[in-house]
Amino acid sequence: MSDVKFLNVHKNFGQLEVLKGINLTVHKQQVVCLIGPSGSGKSTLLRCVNHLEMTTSGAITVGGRMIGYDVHGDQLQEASEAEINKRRSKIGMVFQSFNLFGHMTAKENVMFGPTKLLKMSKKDAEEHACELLRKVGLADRMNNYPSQLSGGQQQRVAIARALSMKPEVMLFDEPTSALDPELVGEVLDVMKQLARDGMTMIVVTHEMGFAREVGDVVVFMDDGVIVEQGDPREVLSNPQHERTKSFLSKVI
Amino acid sequence: MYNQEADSAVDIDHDFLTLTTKPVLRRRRPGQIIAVVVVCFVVVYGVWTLFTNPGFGWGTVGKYFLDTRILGGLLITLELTVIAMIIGFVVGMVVAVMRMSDNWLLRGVSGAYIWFFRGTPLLVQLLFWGFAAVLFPTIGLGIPWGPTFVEWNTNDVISLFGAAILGLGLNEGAYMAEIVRAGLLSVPAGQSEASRSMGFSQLHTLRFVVIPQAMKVIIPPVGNEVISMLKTTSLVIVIGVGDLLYNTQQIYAQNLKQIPLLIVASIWYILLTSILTMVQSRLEKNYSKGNALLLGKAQR
Repeated sequence: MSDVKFLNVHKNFGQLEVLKGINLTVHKQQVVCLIGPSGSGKSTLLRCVNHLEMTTSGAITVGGRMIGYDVHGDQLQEASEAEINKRRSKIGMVFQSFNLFGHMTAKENVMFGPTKLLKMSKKDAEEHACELLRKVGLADRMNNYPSQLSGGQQQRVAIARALSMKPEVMLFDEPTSALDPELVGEVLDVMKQLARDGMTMIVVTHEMGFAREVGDVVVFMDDGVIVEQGDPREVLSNPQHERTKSFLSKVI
Repeated sequence: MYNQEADSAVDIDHDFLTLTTKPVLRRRRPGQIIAVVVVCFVVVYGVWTLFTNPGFGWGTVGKYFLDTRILGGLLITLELTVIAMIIGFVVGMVVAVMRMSDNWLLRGVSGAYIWFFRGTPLLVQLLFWGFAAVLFPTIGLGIPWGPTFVEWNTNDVISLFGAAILGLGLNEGAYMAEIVRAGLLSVPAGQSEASRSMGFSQLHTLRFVVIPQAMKVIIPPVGNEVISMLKTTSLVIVIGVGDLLYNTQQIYAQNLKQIPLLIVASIWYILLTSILTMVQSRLEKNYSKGNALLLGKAQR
């Protein structure tokens, strides 16, 4: 497991400044929940960690290494594709819309990375996949295609798929936002188990209950900056800033 | 104005319940009956003509159906179809990926390619390739504006068959590029993102994630293209390649039995088209893995 450091991260989409200098440290085995109104930049921040988005300036390190960049003189330069891919494979990501590979069964989705990237033998990968799917409670759904699974089941397969690469950090981008309310619990349960197992997790979420119960730190973002951060029970029950107060009054 | 009250008013008292015990009758459709009579007449007359008009020369059709020149031409037609489609698919794949690149030059060049090959008639393109030797009398391997290492006479290297292949294949590439692009665009961006976030390269993502899922969108129109290509190959007669139609023409130029021989060619074309249609539906099934409509959601 590794810690994640954000150092003065800026991100522009054209003229629009989405991240305005983010500084944040996520320690090993910590669960950090990013909350905030939509458009506040929390998803973008998450996507910068594994270089799905390129930062405009600033650096993000995972386990002391930058993911998408190398030092080039007195500047940072985007690393080669092969190098980025190698560093990326240590970071698991779970998406709001699951993004399971539609032409593969649940088991094949989980075997895909280990067989093709980690060069694991088919037999080992299959064993590993079965174990992971059992862990997320889908032992009986292994041979189903994503279209045959409910949203909650798909998201649990997606978590298993991310875990199959043996990541040091897991990123969750609103993992329960696309789910029917009654399916949210099963996904959160899997995430809680992961947190208990000591996984370092950064979670963009609107589930304040989850943030309170599982989060070690909650970070409130608005308009591209971190407004407030700290112990979830403190921040969520006793917010110090006006913007945090007005946001929380709307969602809780 | 529509008067709902008057229109739907039913006298409930008046034995209405007895009406409800009998089946409802369909509306009469006199127009349909007239249409059926006309169509029947046309079909029957057509079939009757097929058998009674000596001009069709069914005996001659039978005699030439398996003629070696016909079968030889058929082989050339098949070769042209297969090779041109392979070239078309490979070129189309490359052009489609270039078209979606974020480099403006690659996008521009592929756009120009599609623009040119779709913008000029295939017949003209075939003639161009047939006369390629006029434009480039020799073909060589070397560095442009620099030394040439080997050189051949164009007419020796590009046979008429080769010219036909180039003409058909490069033209097909332009159409195929658009089909492939539509297929690639049909796969949600999230699929690539998921693959990239696991550490897969762009090329692996394309090969293992995007293309397999794009195939179910690509195959139906590609099937159309193959079937269309089978018949389009007959255009190569303008540069004198001995395909099915060319050989057919050669035979009727001698015996003047044009209609029976054109029927022979048509039967072969329609036979092959039917076979290709069956192959297409097989392939479609194969590539629809994970398709919700076919799997059914019952198991949820």
